[in-house]
Amino acid sequence: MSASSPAFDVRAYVREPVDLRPDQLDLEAMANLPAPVVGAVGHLWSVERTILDLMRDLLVTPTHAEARVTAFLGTWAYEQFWITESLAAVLRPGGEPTDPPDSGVGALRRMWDERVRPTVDAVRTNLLGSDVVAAHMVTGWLNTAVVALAYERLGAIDPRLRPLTAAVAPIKSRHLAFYEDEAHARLSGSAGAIRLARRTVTRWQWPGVRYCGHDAASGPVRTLLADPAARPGVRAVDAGVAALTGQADAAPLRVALGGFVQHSPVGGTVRASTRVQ
Amino acid sequence: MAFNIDRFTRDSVRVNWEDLDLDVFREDPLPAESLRTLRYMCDVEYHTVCYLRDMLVTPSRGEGEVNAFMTMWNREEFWHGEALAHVLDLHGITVSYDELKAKRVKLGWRDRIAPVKQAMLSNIIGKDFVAVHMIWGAVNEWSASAAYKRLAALEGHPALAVLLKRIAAQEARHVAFYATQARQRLEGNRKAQKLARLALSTAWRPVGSGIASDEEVTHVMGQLFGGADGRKEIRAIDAHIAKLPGMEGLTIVSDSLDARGISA
Ligand SMILES: [Fe+2]
Ligand SMILES: [Fe+2]
Repeated sequence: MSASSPAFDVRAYVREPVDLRPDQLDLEAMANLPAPVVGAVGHLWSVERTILDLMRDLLVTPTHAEARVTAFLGTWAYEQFWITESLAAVLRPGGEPTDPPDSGVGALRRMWDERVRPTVDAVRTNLLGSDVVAAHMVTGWLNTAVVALAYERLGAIDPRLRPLTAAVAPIKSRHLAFYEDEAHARLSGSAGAIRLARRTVTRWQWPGVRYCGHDAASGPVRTLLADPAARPGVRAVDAGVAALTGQADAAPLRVALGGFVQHSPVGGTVRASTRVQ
Repeated sequence: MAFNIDRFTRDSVRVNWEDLDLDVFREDPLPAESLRTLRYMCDVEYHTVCYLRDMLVTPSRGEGEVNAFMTMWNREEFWHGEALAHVLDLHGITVSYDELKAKRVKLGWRDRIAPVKQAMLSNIIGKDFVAVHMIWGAVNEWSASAAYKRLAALEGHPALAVLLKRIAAQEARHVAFYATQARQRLEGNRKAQKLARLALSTAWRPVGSGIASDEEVTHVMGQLFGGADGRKEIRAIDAHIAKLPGMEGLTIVSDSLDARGISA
């Protein structure tokens, strides 16, 4: 795989982690944010803190053997940990942050994810083999790109948060560079990997709705992305995915945002309740 | 031994060696048997992420303090691997990511199915499984800490000794976490105590047994813990274990050495 071997320097990355600690932020300057902004920060906190869930999902699959990827993940988790701590510190004046409650279906999903899915995934993905790694890298890119966009928007919506969002941006850029690089290397020349990645992208959902459902996330998502100013960013994420997976028609973020329209309180969560996984 | 998670996460750093004069190994290399032991320890450290994986499928995950610890712990252990890899590299022994991958792949289905076994077992046992995980972790961290201190003493190489002692100091903090957790979860819980006792006395093997050959395990244990001084360290570990609720009289680490014919 000489032509397509990854170029991202994992050794350099792990050597220089960026730990955004709460004491690096002027928290007082970020106090008294308007309620919708607090809601959006809270949503991001809740999404970012699923660090170990993601690690679990990757590590039970053949991805765990990829020492490059696990080396990256260890430092990624460390950086994510401090981002989460900083977000919590911003939220704390308004009370200790908590995850939104699970929806009815979400509670079932959580039980499934915690008790059954690791087993099912371990067996299923080990049968699929190393093509799974490529799909993981694409998902990693997509999740990171969406969260990075959310921070960018947050900084635009409330300039007081800019010191935070500006500090997070370069951290996310490195994560994106890693995923992009790995995805390119692993997708090139593997029809199976491309097929799996495509399926994963099609099924992708906005991060953090798996347990709480679309209703709980729709407020923050609207705060972050409803403004027409967010559109170029949304398009850029979709274009980035399309470029990764080698299919021009992929638009997972647009599709996922459509899910919030379908899942408006009036429409209920009909579609979501028909499938557990 | 109290453990403060906020202090632990705040102070967690990668072990560093840049200030140490390790380049002397180029002229004055370590003996082959020590390199063999270092290689074994290096593999064990890098393999931590796979132990982490096996734990993440159990109810141990999900509690804030445990999650914070696991994140820092995994990274610290990774850097123990990097530090030892650097020492090995100075001896012309390269441990690359590709090689680590090849090793993990070679472990095959036994390794890939490990999280499945853990998940099923923990689903059956429920929350008491966490106590077993914690005491298991404590025993392994005690062993790691003792191993580094022994190797530092045996080799007597000044720069290496400093590096190994730095690693051992981090292992000691890992001990504090696991032992504190184990004590809390075992105290007053007869069922968890019985389970932990059963697990340790029937299933515990020296750290690295799952990934290295029997021959390697015996070499490493023999080099580090053979003889009177080594056995003293091992008895100290057994004494620590025996002090945890419901573990009176257990001598699993000494027993494992006896079983391998390593003289006291
Ligand atoms: Fe270690
Ligand atoms: Fe340790």
